[in-house]
Amino acid sequence: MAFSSFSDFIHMGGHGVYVWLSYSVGVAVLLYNLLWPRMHKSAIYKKLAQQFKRESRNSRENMNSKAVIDGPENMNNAESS
Amino acid sequence: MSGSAVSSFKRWFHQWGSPKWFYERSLVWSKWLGWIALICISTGLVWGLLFAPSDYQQGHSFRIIYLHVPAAVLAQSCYIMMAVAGLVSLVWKMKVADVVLKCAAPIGASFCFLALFTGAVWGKPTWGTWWIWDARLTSMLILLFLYFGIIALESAIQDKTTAARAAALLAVVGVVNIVIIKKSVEWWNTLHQPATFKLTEKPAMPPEMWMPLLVMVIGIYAYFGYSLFLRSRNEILQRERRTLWVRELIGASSSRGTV
Repeated sequence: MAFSSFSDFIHMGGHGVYVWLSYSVGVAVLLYNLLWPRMHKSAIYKKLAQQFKRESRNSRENMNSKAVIDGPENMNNAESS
Repeated sequence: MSGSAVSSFKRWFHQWGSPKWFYERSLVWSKWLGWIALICISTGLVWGLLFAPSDYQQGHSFRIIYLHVPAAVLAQSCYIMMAVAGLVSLVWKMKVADVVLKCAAPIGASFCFLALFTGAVWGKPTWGTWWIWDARLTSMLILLFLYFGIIALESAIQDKTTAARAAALLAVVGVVNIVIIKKSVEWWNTLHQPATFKLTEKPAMPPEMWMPLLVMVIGIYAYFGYSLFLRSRNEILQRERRTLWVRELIGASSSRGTV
């Protein structure tokens, strides 16, 4: 080990400020690249899950109403909305 | 013989064009890269901060090298990879290449920033200045602006295809800057020292100094891959949201309650 005590390690022979400033920004950059995409992922999952639920509800309603008005041959169009 | 080799190459190449294939494979790759990154970065940090000897001239500020060099190497490699992705995107219009190019930009930018920041902090006790407008530092700053440019193009242009084309073009053209960064320490007088690692020569440092550095470089590369796949999967989910497989994937995860 290059240091004899913990305070030596923190002090870094007078260069503690430079070393620890660098390493704290380094850790911040690493965390940003891990946490941001993960948070984004759960946001996307939530958004898409809601969207798909809404769409499938809408298309079911459309199908029901269209089935009454136009007959079953237009049911395929309900997906495209 | 060669016919089957060509057709298997074509199949391999074709797979890369499939976002679904890429999404599924990247889950496996991510897992491996994540573990490699975790092990190498934690080992490298402890080794570099606690056990590596201090430099006889620079003292303990030398330890900044274990962040500075990996960050700088990654920022440049990431850009080269983006330029290759850009070329593939321009020539073959491959969706996955667009996704990778877009998703790598913020990661590369963050590491380029880290390289510049740690360089400035290291420069203060070593050179007596935070910043000088010399060739190496300036070309590295230009790299950061190139990253910002690509991010701006991707977010400003609404149409995905046009945005991808513009970003690809900038990535390919900007690769000139990488050559300038590499050669800057040879072509101009600069405070910056020459490359720490060269493939053809033994490093000038003793092994107890460069071994933790090598471990950190490997760790940061793995971390980059891990983060890139995370972002790429997010991007693919959004772009492919009208496909059945995304619908099924989201449906399965929301019914399990794992969001």
